[in-house]
Amino acid sequence: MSDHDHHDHDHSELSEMELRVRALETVLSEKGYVDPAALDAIVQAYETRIGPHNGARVVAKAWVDADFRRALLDDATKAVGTLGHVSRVGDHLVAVENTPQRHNMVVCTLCSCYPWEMLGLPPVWYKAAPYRSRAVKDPRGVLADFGVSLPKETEIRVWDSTAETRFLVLPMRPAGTEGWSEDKLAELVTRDSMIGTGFPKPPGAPS
Amino acid sequence: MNGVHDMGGMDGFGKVVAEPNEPMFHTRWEGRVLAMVRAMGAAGAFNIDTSRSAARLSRELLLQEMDARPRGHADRQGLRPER
Repeated sequence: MSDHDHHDHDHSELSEMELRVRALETVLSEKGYVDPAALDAIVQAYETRIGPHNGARVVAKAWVDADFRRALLDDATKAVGTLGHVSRVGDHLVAVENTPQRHNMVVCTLCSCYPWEMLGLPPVWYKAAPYRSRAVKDPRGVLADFGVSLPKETEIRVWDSTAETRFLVLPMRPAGTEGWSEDKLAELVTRDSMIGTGFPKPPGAPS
Repeated sequence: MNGVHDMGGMDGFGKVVAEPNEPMFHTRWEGRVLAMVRAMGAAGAFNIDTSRSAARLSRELLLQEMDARPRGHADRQGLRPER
C-alpha cells in the first residue's frame, strides 16, 4: 500500500474522517449489511480491474475495426456491451469522435458524472471547481492548463455529462502506427485522451 | 434550476491543477466509503435518487469546503457518492 496509509500504524493520529468511516463500517458490518471481505474485493476491483485500460481497449478496437467504430459511434452502450462491459443500470454511453476539424471534451458541470466502466473513478481535477466551471466557457484555456493546444480552426465541442448519459472521447489514432495490433495501440491511449484533455501518446514515447 | 452545484460558466475558480500519477484512493477511507456505497446500493438499501439527495451538502457547507480545501484537492469529502 502507499504512504497514504501511514496513519494506520499510529491510532492516535487517525483523522476524524478515518474514525467516522471505521465506525460506519463496523456498524454496517455488525448489522449484517456489508461483509468487510466484500468491501476489500470492491476496493481491489477499483484499484485493478476498473480503470482507463478498459476504455483504451475500446478505442484501440475502434481504430483497427471499421465496423466496431461505426457501431461504437452509433450506440456505444451496445457496442461496448459486445466486449463484455456491463454498464451501471441506467447509464447510456455516447462515444464522440475527434477529427482534424473537431475536438471533443467531456465535463460534468454539476458534479462528477463519468464513464466509470470505461475510465474508472474520475480524477480529483475532474470533480473540482476549476474544471467544472471553466470547461464550458473557456475550453481552450482549460486545455492550456493541461499543456494542450489545438489549431485555431479546430472546433471544440464540450459535452456536459448527466447521471444517465456519459461520454467517451474517441481520440484520433496517432500517425506512424500503421499495422499495429490492438494491444499495442491500447498502450498509447491515455485516460485524458478519452476525456478530451489530452492526446494519445505518440508511438515510441516512453510508457 | 441553478445553485452552487451548477458551476458551468462560473468565474474565479482558477487554473485546473492535475495531480501527476494520482492514486485511485488518496487515503484508505476513500476506498472503504466507495465500497460501502456500492455494497449498500447493491443491497438495495438506497437508490440513486436517495443518494443524490444525500449528496447535496448544504450550500453554505459546500462553499465553505471549496474555500477551505487546497487547489487540486477539492471534492475530497468522499461521502458524496458520484452520480
